Amino acid sequence: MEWQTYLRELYNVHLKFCQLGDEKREELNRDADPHNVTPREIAIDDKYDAKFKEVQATLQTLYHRQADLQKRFGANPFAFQFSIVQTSRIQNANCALQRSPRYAPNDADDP
Amino acid sequence: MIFRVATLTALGLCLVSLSCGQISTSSAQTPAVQEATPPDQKDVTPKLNTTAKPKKVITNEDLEPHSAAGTTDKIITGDVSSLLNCDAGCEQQAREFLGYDADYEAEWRMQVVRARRDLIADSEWRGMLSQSIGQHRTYCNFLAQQSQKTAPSGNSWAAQVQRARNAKYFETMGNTLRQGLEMSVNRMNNHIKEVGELSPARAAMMNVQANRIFDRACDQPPQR
Repeated sequence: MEWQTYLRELYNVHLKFCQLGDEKREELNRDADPHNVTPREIAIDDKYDAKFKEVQATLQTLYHRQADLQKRFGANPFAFQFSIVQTSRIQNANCALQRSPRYAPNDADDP
Repeated sequence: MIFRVATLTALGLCLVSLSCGQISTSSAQTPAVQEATPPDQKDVTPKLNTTAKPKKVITNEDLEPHSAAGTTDKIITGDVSSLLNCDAGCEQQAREFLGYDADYEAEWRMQVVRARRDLIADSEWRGMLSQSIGQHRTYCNFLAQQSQKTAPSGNSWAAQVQRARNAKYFETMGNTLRQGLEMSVNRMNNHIKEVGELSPARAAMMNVQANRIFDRACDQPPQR
């Protein structure tokens, strides 16, 4: 149960990364000049760099807990390896789902 | 790439033979120190040098004084610390290698946290890096030694024999270095491949680290 909670927390942090990435992209699309790098664009980059670093620190703290939790699987090598695969799947997942277009239920084109 | 591997291979051999040389010299010197005979050694060494200077065969022991000669060691030590860590530039190269452009910043930012952490904790990889750095240094010393052309240039029998001995030495030493280097490269590649299955980001960072070591140009040979 505690392991499942940990995985959920890990995934929540992953979502936070994706959310920040989306926000940064949207903000840059709105404010950046496609022909030049403007001070505004640099400011946005700096702002999100700080935000990303915050979430990275959270993730780092989360990883500290992982080793202790995984020790419980030490008696079963398969369970231990499976726990590694679980975390690496979350860690290596991309944010494609968040990027896909979302259709409202009342969209006129939706059959 | 082939050239790089060949260069690496050549470096590897040196390490093996050098370490043997270092062991033999230290074991020979330690008893001498215990017997309190350094003055005798000091007396003998110059005589050997002066008498055998024109015909001297370069041995493994000759490599060691070059590396311990002073300033070059300090330079290499500085390089080592930067080569053992994957700094921001190294991370950026790994990111570009994996194709994480601005659209995939979130994914990269997340993966790099774990990659950094695991990379620091991977003592086996750090050992491989240290070994390959040593091999590179040894190979550079070998190349410097080779370029110094200490063999006599006359047509006398003794000079010809000395030149033949030198050529044989450089060939054997070069082969040894290449074999050891090849083994190191294979070990590193295998480790990178294993890591890459679970953490592509970490594997890419390791790849950059390895390339940085083996792509380095040799420093200028020490001035005599």
